[in-house]
Amino acid sequence: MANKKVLFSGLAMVLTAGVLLAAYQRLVQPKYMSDVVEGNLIADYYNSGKDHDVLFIGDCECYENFSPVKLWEQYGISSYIRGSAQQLIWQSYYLLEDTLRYEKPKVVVFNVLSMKYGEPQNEAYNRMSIEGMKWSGAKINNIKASMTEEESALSYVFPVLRYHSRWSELTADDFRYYFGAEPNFFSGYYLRADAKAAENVPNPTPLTDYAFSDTCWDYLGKMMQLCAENHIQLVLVKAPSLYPFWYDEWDQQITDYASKYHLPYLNFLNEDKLEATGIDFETDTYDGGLHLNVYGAEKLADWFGGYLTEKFDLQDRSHEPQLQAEWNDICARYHAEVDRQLQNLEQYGNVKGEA
Amino acid sequence: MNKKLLAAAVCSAALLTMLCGCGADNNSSTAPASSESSAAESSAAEESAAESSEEASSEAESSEESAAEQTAETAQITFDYVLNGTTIVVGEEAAPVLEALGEAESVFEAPSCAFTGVSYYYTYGGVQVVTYPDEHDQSLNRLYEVDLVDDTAATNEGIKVGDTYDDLLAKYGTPDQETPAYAMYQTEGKAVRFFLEGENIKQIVYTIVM
Repeated sequence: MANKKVLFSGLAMVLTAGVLLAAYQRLVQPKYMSDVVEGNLIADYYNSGKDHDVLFIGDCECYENFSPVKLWEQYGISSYIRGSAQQLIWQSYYLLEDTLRYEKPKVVVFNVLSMKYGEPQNEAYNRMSIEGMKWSGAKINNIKASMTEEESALSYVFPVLRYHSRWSELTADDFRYYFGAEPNFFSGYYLRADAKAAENVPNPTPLTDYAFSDTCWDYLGKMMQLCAENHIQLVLVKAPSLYPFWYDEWDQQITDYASKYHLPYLNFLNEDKLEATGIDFETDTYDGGLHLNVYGAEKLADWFGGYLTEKFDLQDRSHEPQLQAEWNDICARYHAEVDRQLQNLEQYGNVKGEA
Repeated sequence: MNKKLLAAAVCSAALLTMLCGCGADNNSSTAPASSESSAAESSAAEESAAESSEEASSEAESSEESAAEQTAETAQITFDYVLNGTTIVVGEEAAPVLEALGEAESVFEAPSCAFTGVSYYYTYGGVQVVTYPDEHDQSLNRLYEVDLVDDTAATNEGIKVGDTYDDLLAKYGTPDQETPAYAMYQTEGKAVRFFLEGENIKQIVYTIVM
């Protein structure tokens, strides 16, 4: 009996410590609400209806340049952008694997800028691309592939090991959003309604080596194979961002690869595409040509929706009640956000409403 | 039993205190701020900056280290670019240099994705000065690159865009590294690269190296 009591007490002690640690861990983890909101992009997917015909994967050139709301409103295409800041190609691959656990889109669109990074780059971006994923083999492999030398896998399992010292930096947001973030995105799209014309775009600095790394080619091959196994059409795109530079030598490598494997490759920086989409870097970018604003993203989606519909026979699903209900909510939030940002611009001169 | 529960609570509190306490020495508690520049590049730049500040005293040592690899001519190469009397040392803090250079003809801002740091491209005639945010302090920008983009600017050794590969060899000697597309001369942490189009130089870049 005494032994049982000791055992029970020990278990109770471990349980109490575990609960307190878990509670503390949640408190000190970044909430990504007022600042660096992009940190919530990956986790936001799990709140969606997970019924999408088109899945975008890639870096900021995905989640800031294509408007899923426009695709829905104009073509009845249900789409989602699983994008994150500086998303590396192996992260895109594992996010695709992760997404396929929940749904099977008809088309996957991959933005090829990340082919430029052949090695893990930066812990902060890694955390934003990985921590929001639910646990699965894909997440574990993503961690293994992404970690920089300074990182430990254990700190992804127990984020408290990474963030424990944030106790001295806690803000009201850490308590307000303790139980979860509020939706900040629109099917993975990050919306900006301000405009800043592209001016003085500098000369690109030549590179000593333009060859993409074997690692990147391997993951692009795996992505292609995974799509083929699931009867998904893979489409390669280069979004219309003027910076970071997209070198002609890089473009040629992707063009050759796409041609070899019969993949569609659309470089939206090409003159004919800029003309077709109508993107104007005077009015359709909010940061001088790096990313499109909502007006540019809608123009791009308008053209791209037509392309997807025509080439891959995507159906207008706007009449389906379940999708209708989900998208009505997304669209309402989207248009309200445009209005809110425009009001802030008028009143404060910035979209965030900072006095 | 109450004593055991009390002990459990004390242990838990102690565990939390340990976690909090050990974090007090760790300033980079949140995911560290970052720029589009890779961490490796930033580190290299920091190393370069540290070396540059000690450049005068370590010049002799550097020469000894690289003597085996350098020709007599390349030992004289300067890896810091002088623009309008201001010396630009890649890797060092940008603000004092930019102030000394005066107003640029144009400025291009490249904000880091998701973070607050901004890379800048300042244009002074045929010279483009590129800065990037420090990896650990995004309010601090460092000099990353100096690009000579046309023939209005020449290196300290007198080579400019449009000159031939032979002109380059005559002034700089044998490159430390070359391909048909470029010739590079480097010292620890810094390099000057001459990009070629056929026999002619099309762009010159002073930069940090890993």
